[in-house]
Amino acid sequence: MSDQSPDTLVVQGVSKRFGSTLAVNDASFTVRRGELIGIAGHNGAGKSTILKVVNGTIAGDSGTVTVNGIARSADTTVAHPEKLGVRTVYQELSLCASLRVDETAAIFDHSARGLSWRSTAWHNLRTVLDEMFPGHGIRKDAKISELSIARRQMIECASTMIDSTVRPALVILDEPTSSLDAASTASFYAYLKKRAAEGVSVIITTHRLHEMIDNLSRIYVMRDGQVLSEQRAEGATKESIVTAMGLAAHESSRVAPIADSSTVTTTDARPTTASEVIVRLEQPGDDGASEVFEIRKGEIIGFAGLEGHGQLLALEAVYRASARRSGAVRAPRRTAHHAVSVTGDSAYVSGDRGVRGIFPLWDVATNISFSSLGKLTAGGLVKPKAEAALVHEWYSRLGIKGQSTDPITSLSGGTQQKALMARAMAVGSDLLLLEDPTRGVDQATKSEVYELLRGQAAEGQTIVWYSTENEELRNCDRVFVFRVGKIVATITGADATEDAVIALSFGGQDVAPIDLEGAVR
Amino acid sequence: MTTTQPVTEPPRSLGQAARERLGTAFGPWFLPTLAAVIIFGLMVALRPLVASPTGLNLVLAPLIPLIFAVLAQMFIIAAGDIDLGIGSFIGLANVVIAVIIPDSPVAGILFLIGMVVAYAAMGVLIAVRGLPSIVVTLGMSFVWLGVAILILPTPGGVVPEGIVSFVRFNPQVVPGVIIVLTVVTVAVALFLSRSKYGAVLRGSGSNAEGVRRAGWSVIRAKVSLYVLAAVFGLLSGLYLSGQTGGGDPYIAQSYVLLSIAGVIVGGGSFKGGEVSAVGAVAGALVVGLLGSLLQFIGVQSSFQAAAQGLVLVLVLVLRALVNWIQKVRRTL
Amino acid sequence: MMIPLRTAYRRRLAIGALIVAAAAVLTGCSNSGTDAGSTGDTGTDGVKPIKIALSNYFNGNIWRKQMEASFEATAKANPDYVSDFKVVNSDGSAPQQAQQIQSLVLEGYDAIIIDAASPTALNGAIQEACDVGVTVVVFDSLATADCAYKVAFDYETYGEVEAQFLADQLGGKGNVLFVRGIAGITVDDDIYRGATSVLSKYPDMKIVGEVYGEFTESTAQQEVAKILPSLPQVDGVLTEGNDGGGTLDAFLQAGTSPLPVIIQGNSGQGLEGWVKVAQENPDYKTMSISSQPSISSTALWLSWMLINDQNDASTLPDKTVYAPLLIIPEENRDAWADALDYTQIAENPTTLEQAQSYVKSAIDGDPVLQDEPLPPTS
Repeated sequence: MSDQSPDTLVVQGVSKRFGSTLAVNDASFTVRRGELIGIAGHNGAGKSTILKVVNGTIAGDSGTVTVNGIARSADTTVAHPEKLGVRTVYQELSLCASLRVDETAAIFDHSARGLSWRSTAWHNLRTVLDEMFPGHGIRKDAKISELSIARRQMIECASTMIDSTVRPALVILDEPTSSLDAASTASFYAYLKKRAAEGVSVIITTHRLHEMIDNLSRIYVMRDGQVLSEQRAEGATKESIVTAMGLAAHESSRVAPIADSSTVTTTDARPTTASEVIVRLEQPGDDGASEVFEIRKGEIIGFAGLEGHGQLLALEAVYRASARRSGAVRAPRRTAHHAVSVTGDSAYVSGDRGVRGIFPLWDVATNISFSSLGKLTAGGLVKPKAEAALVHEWYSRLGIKGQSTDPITSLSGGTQQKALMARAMAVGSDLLLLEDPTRGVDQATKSEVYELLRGQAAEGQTIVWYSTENEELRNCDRVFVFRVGKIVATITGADATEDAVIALSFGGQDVAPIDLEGAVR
Repeated sequence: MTTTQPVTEPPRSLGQAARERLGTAFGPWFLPTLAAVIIFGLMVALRPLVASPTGLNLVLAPLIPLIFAVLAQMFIIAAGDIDLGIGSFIGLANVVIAVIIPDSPVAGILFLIGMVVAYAAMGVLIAVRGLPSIVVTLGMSFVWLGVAILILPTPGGVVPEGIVSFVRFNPQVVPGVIIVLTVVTVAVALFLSRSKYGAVLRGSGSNAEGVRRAGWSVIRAKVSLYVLAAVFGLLSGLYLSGQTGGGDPYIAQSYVLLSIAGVIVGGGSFKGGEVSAVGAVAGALVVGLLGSLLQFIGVQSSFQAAAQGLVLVLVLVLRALVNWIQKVRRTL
Repeated sequence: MMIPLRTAYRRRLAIGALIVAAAAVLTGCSNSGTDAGSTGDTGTDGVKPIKIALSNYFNGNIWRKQMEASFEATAKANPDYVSDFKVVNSDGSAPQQAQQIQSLVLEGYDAIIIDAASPTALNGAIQEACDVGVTVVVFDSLATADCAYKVAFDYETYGEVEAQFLADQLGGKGNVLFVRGIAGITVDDDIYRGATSVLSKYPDMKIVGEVYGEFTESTAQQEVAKILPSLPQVDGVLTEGNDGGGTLDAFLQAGTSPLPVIIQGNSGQGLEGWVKVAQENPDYKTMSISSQPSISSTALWLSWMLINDQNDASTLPDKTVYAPLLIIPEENRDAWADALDYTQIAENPTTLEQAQSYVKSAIDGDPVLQDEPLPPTS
């Protein structure tokens, strides 16, 4: 009976209040069978909350949720949504670090039983993985803790699509592509479309608006807990969605520096300033002679390329090669592909906040001032006034709301990330190294971050920035494109369009630029 | 278009793939097993008699209770917890077997079952209320000890003959300790590493929320681990009772820290989920045999504790080094 | 509560046979090893020197350290009697001590003397050692295994002597504080039983408080200081060894006057304190009593006698020899106080002759339970 209903999900009048905040306000929307829909909205708009009410993790205050024709009141929770065919991938990863890949597959795949449970589960997962992410390179006996964050995300996405005992009917994906590179993202959406044709419905939230426009059929836009508008993806533009999200002001300032010229790939883009060299990367060239890449004071340099092609390794090498004191020099550091030498000290910000960044038990102020304590002390003791001044300065520069004595975990993910940036910038190091700093951060916050970085560069700080989001590389002065561990191209930030970077990532000028949209249609 | 070619994966050299495979083959159990074999080899070199059936029995039999205690601790550490009460728990089991069982076997067995139920309840408490295991188990350790002293104020009692001869069962062909060691290691390793529920149990210690989202009961997993720990604690108490012939509430106090050391030396991690049965048994052997080896070498008694500690730290440093090398080689 | 000693240690059939078979291998091996190590059997009276090991379960207090030292000194000083010796320590763990004993068996020692971690926990290991022909002597803290010989202090006498002395001093009337040893061990149990059996004869003597001093002066001081404010006037203090000095300090710091009669425990600290108090108040009377760390040497000599079949040692009733408790009456106080360091415990080094006399008196059914020697002159 229920299988005949045309709508996989009907949400009607759902509200949810946390304390004084109305997180979801009378939200209603519908997902039809075999439809890919998106929910857009800035951080805190209520996307995560409404999705948790839909899958039954938390109870709403009012409204109804109908899945596959079976209605329930929104104020109940569901212990096992997977038995209703509802699968969810959360933004924070939920794999068990200590398990092997095939064991992980089996935990998700309740149909894998008996003596060959591991091979059955691995077979089922690999079937999806091979199609969803061709060339994923994941082995069944690898431990999850050994995998890169991108591969873990691949496993999570793929595990929602295995058939198991109850076939997936509604799959909810919260920022599924945040760690994936462009090619993986493209094949991922291609797979989703194939499954949608078989009747699986998918809800996606992502800050990458162009992905929604290019790949989904409809987009709901949320703001302040309300579902404000519904747009057909065909007619939607980034501007129309952004306007609906209430972010028009931010967006316009962000696009300003883009030169609307035709894409010219220049392997020899010159440094923009003639100031002193801060970082020197040397790699053996094709003809045996060594190639040298210099990064000068006050530049913003992007490290781009497909996920896992050596950008991170190079970034870490720069960090390890940097000195303890400003202006000092240490012995060059060698990696498999580069010899790296750095003049001056550096600070590092990681996008993987939970693991490398925040001190979850401390308040915001301490999280910001922590790295600067060295210059805030007198006789080994921290000077409270100096610390307070520093925290205050960064609060106003970053526009962080709330009290500096709040626990850091009370802030939203994007704001936590800003606090982490503040900590690194407050040190005033010669070099600022960023590892995908805007992962999972909303558009407005991103714009603020770009603004901040330009300000720091203007003050003479050198910034090296690794990003999985090619679009934001336009904010760089120059972009180094990596392939198989080596730098294969240097282009100016203005030239660093998505297409150009992808083309270079796949093989330089001799390969025709890839039409990402075309690839998946 | 033809562009969704498999380029996501950067090409890897054959050597790198081989090294990765090697890293997986030499799992966390490898180093402690190697250490145990080396220690045993040195002991045989010093006293060839150790390798004889009698020698094996003399050297290994006293370690059987420790091995059970380490396995019990391993289940708790797999849950991401620590059990500071296992020593007193084993002591209570020993007292029950030496005092209550001879008088009334039924009451004794019911008592032992009650102890397992108490452990299950402890698991529920820790899982549901989110209490720190270190506090709950420490508190319970005084309860176990207190009850044991209540039953047997000073050491005494007589363990039934049946249990003594069961524990000391030693057929002519293969030393009994080898049989017990092999059966227990294989059974626990198969369950933990090769059964699906074993994977769920390890996963629940590593990321309980993830396992819950995959549709498993985290509380049931926790209770399973605590019940397993209790059962192995009872086995440890059973073997101690059979070997000593009497009861003593304090008999296993030293097992608390030794069992934790055994699990960690055996490749386990306090992060939870990272345990290996083979590693834990090897870790127990390392921790247990080390004292005998130092004694054979003739290290002065005053230095033995320090020397033992140093060797354990050395094993851990080696392991950290191996992890670091594996990690460096994997990077890209 | 009294736990009866186990009357019979039943033999286990299956492994018994195997171990006896192995015994031939083991003893054969150990004998040849010993012979190679020494110059044949040229010891005194044509008897052979022995290879002996001491298994101690705890060496964290001064009594135990002196006990190990006494054994080593005696073994070193008598190469004609002891060809090889070793001390092992198990850090308070009974299972580890059992394992050590089994390793010592594998190492081929003729005799193992044991200060046991538990009355019961080592019985299996001791039985296995006996089964392969090793001579086992337990001492001080005993194990109940039937096959082991025992060198014991009569700790009940300890309690009786001090309680009787206290009752006499106080005229059978007064409040008593009891500084006990460690809860749940037999030494504490025995002393307590002996003392309370005497006190029960004096209805006007009341135990008003009990603390556990763990046979350690500093612990005793802390524990007594903690309980003092809650007590009525204390007239006498019973102690269990190496805890009288700390107890005295606690009373002095509390400014208690008059000082109660505090039984001292033979430590240098306690005797010094007693000397000082007596200098200020010549009427202050007390006594000092404790066990002697040199009991390890008695055990060593007993092992030698058993292996060489001397002095009819194998006919000892209950396989038990008593080592005398060392009592320091007032007249010996100054001599001992001079002889001892602050952290030393009074002991009389045990010679072979003394050990032989202890054995003889035990066989004659009249064991020496206490002694009041002057410090040895060296």
